[in-house]
Amino acid sequence: MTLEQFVRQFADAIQTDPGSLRPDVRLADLAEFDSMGRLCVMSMIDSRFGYVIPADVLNKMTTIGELFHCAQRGSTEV
Amino acid sequence: MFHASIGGIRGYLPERVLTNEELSQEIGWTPADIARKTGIVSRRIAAADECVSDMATLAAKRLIIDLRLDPEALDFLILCTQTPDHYLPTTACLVQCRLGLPSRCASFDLNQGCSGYIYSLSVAAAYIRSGMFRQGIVLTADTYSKLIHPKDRSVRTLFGDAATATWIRRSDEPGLGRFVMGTDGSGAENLIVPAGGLRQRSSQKSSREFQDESGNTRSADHLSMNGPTLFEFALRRVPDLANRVLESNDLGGDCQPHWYVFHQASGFMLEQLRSKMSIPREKVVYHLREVGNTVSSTIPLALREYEQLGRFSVGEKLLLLGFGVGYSWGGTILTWR
Repeated sequence: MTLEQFVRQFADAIQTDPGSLRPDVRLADLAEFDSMGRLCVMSMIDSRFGYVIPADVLNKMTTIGELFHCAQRGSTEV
Repeated sequence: MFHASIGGIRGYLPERVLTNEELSQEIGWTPADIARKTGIVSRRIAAADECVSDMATLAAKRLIIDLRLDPEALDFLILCTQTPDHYLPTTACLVQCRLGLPSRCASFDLNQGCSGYIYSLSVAAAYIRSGMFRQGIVLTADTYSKLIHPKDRSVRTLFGDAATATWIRRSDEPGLGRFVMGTDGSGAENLIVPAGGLRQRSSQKSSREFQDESGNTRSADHLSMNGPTLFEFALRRVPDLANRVLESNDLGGDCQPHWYVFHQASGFMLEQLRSKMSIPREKVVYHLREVGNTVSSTIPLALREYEQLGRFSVGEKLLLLGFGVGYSWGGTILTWR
């Protein structure tokens, strides 16, 4: 999966317009990335990367790009 | 060895209905938001003076009357609850007395939550299989609502109060299969009431309210849930649990269960587990829309609901999976009779 594809998947997970998202968007600034949004993103990463991202690791992510690289690393460690 | 089967299930729901519309006025989310996030549109709430012993007694009375059970013949009463009337005596003793069960009836509480029905069934089945007892009742009852801060959306929207009663008896044909259980106490803090026990007694300090990062208000006296961490636990643990239960009951491959009966944690959780495990939607039991997450009562309430709807057929294999607070989990196969 490319970074651009991940951004679209991320936008789909939190039900927002992918056009409004870039890899350097700060997760903390996204109102849709609330508690429910986090669950949806965890689910998306599990289904797309086969990686159950730990909730505390997800909490430490600052941008969508950083999350993408984390998911990629996680999928290779599974 | 003897076989153990479920002879019947009855439920009790408190009168008070808390709808999403009502909740919406208090917590800010729209009714549609609440339904989308939880899969729940209403839940039942115990009255201020209604406790677990009251609810469990009513569920058990329904069971005894409807199934024409002889109370004198009941050998044991297991009450699964995490919200007992008192520290002591065990609430099962109060229920035994109110039901007029014989003094030779073994009665005790079993403190488990979302896995509690499976744990209780496993103990009941062991009693019967060993030949020690012939029949008894498993009760589940909880009033989590009494532990929830009114301004904590994360749990107030999810949990409902309920009680159930299940008749377990010796049978000629196998009903309950082999059990798989498990525990990981490292997850204890992710669903917890920190104060109110003897580790941290309720006090002025414990009742001090605070807001978490999501804007939910609670104190140490209230139920606290870390939703994402619990979700992580379920994604990691439940598929493996399901596989191990199937394997230990000689199922799997071409021989799949007819029904998957998960603990009804939330609509979202059910859907994610179903998707991850590639289970057809029509094989999954859903029963939380109008009752919410009723902790150890979710599985028996769902079984009763589907029985009333005529969905189960005799001989069908049901995979029962309980998981959550503790962390604790358990599963078994129930052959429908």
